[in-house]
Amino acid sequence: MLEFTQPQNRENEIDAVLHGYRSMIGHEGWLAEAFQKDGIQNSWDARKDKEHGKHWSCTLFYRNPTPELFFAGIIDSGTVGLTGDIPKSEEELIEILGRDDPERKQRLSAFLGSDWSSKGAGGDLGSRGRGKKLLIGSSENKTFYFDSYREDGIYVSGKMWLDPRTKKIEIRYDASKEYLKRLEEEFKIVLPPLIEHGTRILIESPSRELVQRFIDSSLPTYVQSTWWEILHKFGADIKIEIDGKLTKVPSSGFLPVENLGVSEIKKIGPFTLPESKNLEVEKIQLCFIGDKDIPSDYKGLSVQRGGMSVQRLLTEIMDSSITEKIYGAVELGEELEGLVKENEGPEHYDIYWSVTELKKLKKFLKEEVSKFAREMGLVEESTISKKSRQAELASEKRINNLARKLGLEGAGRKKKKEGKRGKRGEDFPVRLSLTEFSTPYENGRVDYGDYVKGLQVTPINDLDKPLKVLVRVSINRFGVPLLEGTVRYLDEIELLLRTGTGEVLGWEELEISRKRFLKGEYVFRGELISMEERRDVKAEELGIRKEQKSPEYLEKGDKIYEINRSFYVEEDPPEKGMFKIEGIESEDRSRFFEWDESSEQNSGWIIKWNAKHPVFALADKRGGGDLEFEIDRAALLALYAVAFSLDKEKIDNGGKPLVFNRSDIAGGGFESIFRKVVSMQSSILWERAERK
Amino acid sequence: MTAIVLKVNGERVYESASGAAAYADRRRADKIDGDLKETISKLERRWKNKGLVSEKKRKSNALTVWYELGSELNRIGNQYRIFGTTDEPPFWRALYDIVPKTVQRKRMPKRSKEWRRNHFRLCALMAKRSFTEIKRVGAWSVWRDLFDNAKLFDDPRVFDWVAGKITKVSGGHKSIRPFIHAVRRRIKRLDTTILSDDELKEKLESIQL
Repeated sequence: MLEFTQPQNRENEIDAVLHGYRSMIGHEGWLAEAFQKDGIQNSWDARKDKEHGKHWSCTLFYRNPTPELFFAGIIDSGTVGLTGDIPKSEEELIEILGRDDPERKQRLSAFLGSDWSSKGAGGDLGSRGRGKKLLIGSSENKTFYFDSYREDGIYVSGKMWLDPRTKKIEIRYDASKEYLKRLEEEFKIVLPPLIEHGTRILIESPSRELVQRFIDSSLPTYVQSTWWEILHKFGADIKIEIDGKLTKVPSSGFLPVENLGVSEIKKIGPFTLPESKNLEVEKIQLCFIGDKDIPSDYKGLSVQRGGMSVQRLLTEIMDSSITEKIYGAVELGEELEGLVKENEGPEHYDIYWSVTELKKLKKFLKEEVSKFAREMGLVEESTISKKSRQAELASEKRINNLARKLGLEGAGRKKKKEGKRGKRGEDFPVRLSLTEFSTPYENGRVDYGDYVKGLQVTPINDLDKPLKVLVRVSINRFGVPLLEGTVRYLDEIELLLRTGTGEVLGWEELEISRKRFLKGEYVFRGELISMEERRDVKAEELGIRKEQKSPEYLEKGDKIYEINRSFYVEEDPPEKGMFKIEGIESEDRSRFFEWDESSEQNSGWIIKWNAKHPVFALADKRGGGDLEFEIDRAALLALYAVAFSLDKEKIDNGGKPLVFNRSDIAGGGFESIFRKVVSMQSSILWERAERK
Repeated sequence: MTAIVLKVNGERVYESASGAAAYADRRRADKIDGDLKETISKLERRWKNKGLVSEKKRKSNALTVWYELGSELNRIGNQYRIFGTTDEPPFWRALYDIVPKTVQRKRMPKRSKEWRRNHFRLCALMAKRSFTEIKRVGAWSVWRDLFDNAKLFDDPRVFDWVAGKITKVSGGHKSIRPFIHAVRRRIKRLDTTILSDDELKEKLESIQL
């Protein structure tokens, strides 16, 4: 029987790894980008001072000592070096790698092994074994050298390369500085041994793609966008060296967001994800870029893990309208960092978001970004659900009725003169009827995706003679004659209107789409216009009041009848009472409900209830009018508070108070006033609760 | 969606039909704002040099001032395609934030809040005609009366007829005003757009003073 190990083509694997990075990074500098990310990641992992990274340093270098000879590499200090047992054979290496190594002491073996390094990799950033393949793949002749001065004082040096014949990755190394001497002899270069604990990697004949990025200075920008967090927090010492010329990579100009020097930034946190106590988000920082452009490396929201930017969430959480305007980063708590690490792609450039907790995180981030975009005026406001909005409106109506009853002054309507009734449809023998008109909300509001129904008029002629008329229907944005870029609704028909009803004109229903309708008031108008001179019909008969010196009969062009109905897209109609109620969403636990004088002149008070507050959120969940009841309760307290201050003002100005007594205001302390308020609202709430 | 820079309670805001102004809209709004300010301050300098406006005295030739301003507003409005869009109402309102005290002494009158009756819009409508024609219609006092009856501007045929007739009304300003009012009253309840030219002319000619 013949027995042997299946040959493996490592060259194909290397190509596959490189391909993975290339497609994941997706720009021309992909190799340099991957090289710096992987290299610095391994180095940062091995830092001695885990807390602050003190005395840690990492340099990416490129040297071209002779026209034929060039190297690229990475050298660090302040790290533990390639620690652990010194394997003397492949079998021994396999044995070491097979051990559990939670504290990650076997760094050397993990480095020498290929796909073994995942076992017991602990909390380190890298641990997929791809790094070495990337290093070999970065070399034109698929070779790199390494040496490490370990914290236990042992020096190791060696070489790793792809054998072009066997397609195997070969390793030659020694627990000494042996290889340095060989290199010096082979390449005629002086390679001084490491004096401080650390590791050095030397890629022989690096690929042009990598060299190019050293030369054109794109490398520092890659480093900054990936490692901005450690550059900022720890002043991490990362340098780029080209032929002996050292440059320290400065802090990023874009992250943290305050580095950009614009005022439109936001930093919030920590948060706990809704319904997940242990899942914490440390900090979210966002920036509205103003008139600058976001460099492609910074677009999106950077998801941070261990000081490194793993993935930048762009269209996954941002509307395409804001991807060019808002960017930022999110730092996670321990649990979430762990989850991200577990679900990270092997190249450390993407995250598998389908895990329940991460889905939650993504949703949360999306909400926060949208909130910021709304605050910056980049997208329209639309947060509170329709159901809540209806509860709000009902409550608003009640509170305004009460305010009126109590005689509190508001920005209310002018009182109609007693006894003078406006003309009704039936007063006009020739008219238009609009009976089916309806909007989803009673107050005329309609939101995107909803319908306005019955935008149809029926001409009616109660006279015993036919009239030649024009019926016209139109929908216009209030105060605007025609809208550029939107469909204009206009239809008209000329007809001989006989006694009875005529042809219906208009639209049975109208879908309010974002594309066609902007936020605001629209007016549906029906007009009935005379199309003939009728000397036999007196204008007065039709309810038309002609101006002096105009003919008294019905003439061509006379407007016989006009009917208007407004509907309000994505907004409520102008307030008619002194109170307006609106929902806010805040995680701030001190915000339950509040009231403020409206900033617009003479427009009363705004009562805000926090939809995120559990009292309201749970009431909403329970349904059955519970939310409305809770809003009522809040609004009532606000009303009495406002009434109190108005009454006080009245007394100060020598007037008569409306709700409270003089003695309440003058002498009453908090206790007595509160007692009165509780008693005043008691009967109202009693009635409300009974009705509910 | 677009926007216009307006001042609300002394604060600079971006007014747009949707209530939201994206970055590009803000940039455009800023550009319009800047363009208006520059144009108007250039005009003011010129008017000052010519003695048309001053800090203390009334305008010495209001018709020229409003006509020139109207022409420039037409230019800017056309350049940014403001007319006939949702930006038009705030565009006219915004001018009250920009036009200097030497030109517009008082705050925005109530009627200017209604964009159709906004003073600057009417100036711009006036400036669509040649200055010779404008002068023939009358002095600023006549135009002010015309502006007070903005309904006359709704149908250009009506305005053309009025402009032509006014020059023939004898008795000066005193008799022009009743004439303007008579025209307005005559067409108040009429939808003139459905009338043919002849029908309209007949109705207008039948106006009795």
